Amino acid sequence: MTARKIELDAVGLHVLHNALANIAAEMAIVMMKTSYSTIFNEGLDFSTMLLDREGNLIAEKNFAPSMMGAVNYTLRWTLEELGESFFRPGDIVIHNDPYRGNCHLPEHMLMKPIFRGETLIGFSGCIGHMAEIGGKAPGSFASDATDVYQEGLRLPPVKLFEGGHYNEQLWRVILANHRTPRNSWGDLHAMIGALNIGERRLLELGERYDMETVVEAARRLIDHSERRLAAEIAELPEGTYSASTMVEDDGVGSPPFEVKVKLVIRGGKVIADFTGSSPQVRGPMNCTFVVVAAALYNAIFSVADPQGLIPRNAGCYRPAQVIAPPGTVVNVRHPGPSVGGNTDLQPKLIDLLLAAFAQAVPERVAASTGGSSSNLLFGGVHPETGRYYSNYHFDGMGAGGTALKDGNDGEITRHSNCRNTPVEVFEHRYPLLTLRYGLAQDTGGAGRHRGGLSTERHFRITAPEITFSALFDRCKMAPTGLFGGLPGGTSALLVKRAGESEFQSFDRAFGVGSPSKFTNVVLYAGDELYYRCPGGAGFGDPREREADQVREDVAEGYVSPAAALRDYGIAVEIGGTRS
Amino acid sequence: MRKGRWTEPSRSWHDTSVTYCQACGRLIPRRAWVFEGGAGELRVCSPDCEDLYEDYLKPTYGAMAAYADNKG
Repeated sequence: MTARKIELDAVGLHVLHNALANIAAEMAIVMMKTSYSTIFNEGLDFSTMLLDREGNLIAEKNFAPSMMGAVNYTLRWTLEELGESFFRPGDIVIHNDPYRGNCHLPEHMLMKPIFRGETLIGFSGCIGHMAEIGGKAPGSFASDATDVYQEGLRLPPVKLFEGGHYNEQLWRVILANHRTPRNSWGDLHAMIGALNIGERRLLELGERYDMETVVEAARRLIDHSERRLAAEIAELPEGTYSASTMVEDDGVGSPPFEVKVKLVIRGGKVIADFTGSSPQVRGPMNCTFVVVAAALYNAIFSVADPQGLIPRNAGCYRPAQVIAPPGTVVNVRHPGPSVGGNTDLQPKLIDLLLAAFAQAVPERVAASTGGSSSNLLFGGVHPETGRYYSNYHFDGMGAGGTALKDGNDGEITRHSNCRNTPVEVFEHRYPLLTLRYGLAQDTGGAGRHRGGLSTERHFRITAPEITFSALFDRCKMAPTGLFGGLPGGTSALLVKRAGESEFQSFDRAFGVGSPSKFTNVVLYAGDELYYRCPGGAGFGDPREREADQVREDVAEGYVSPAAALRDYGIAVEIGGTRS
Repeated sequence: MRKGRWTEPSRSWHDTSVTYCQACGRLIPRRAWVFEGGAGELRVCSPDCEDLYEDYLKPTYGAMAAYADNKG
């Protein structure tokens, strides 16, 4: 096949950028379509990417923005640690070590070198949250873990495949340590399939346009993205902006702890300095460095490139600099646990950074999201199949209101963009009967632009027993509004034992240390759960909201008549009566 | 003007320690950029972090002392 000539002008670069981005997207579709676990094929809690031979990101499909830090750093760091000569054709390296660049232990990174003949061209890679990797709790999300060894199996960078052959010894270790090895087998092969497609498509692109041209285009696109994002940042008012936020507890009895940021905007760059944040906590609410980096990129892209016009590659990550002192809640040191830092501290970090940006560009930011993924883990032996199952479940919180519009309802934002799991899939896969699933009234913080509503689920256990764990936040401390907007609704996880008439919190029912964070509570057939995520906070004074919008909110059931009167000062008639 | 140099400490395969940048906190997978920071030698992840230290960290917080590696 003769390579086509393509000029690397604006048009040519655009064509090749789209080609590279589409390869990453196709990799993601392969992973979604072939995986076994709902967290991949329904939740989309993964990302795929292509890198050059130095480990620089050249294209990505980022279903989960929480992985942006890992996407930018983890594969490059792995390459740097192992060295280029470590990689041979047909190798695949796996690693999930949070102290070496992963988001938390469940997130597994796989990377495959792409060779043309004997020459290394680049890498295909993916990062995904595996649903079950062992440890003390089914679903590998122990909210009372006090070290990494309780969180599951930790893998430093090692070869899963060597020269195209299974490293059977390693596979045996992995599968022996996961509670649901069949799912792990399927999900790992979905990831491997994605890597193989990335390899094949990049080589095809190199045949179509000449590989040297593709490599040169990738290099220029990286420089282009860096220049464009730096130019956008240069438009922001220079200065130093500070903000802080509180987290309720660490799951093992800590008092509330603080995260602080000092945001420095100058010379087309942003420094986010987290010096002064709380020391590392004993429970699993600590973040790794890449999680903090992802939060910063998320906030910067929201403010400086909200439409996502700048090609997402290594260049657009360069103008941002994180300072995250090791040994604090924003940069966990061994052997500290970190599983909840990614899911429940990260969204708060994004809100924290946006609160700092709000002082510079108030018209471009949103009030706080719900700020908690509201992680619910459960597992047991399925009564119909006799097989062990395990699931990591999250649901939709509310997004914060902005200067322009109300927050979106029922989104797993801003850090993950994951999808919800539909009732049909939920009931088909797990012995749970859904009694209600919908938006939770009055959870959107009042404001000129209201916060989005969160979701609530009410379900009944239909198996003889199921073991539950939870890692929530924003159960006591509501998401905060901006510029006079009111807080969003809090989260809740309540239980009603079979034969009882009232719901109660888990700390009251079972004596666990926190209403929102507990591990391995066994529930039985007929017990019911009420599960509500936190809502988004409001933006601007609620009294400035158009009265017709409030009436429409009441008519739609988003806001109760009582809340309309209390928060907006508007009495709304329902069914002919004025409330 | 940067005054540091690259160093690459030898490490055995069974050494599980990791090293973090003393300016930004990032992982240092292999090579470290080492320079004199005013209160001792600092190991950082790249020459850019010497700039970060001189331009921001030192003026803001004063000269920093090095801290120990992490064993894991």
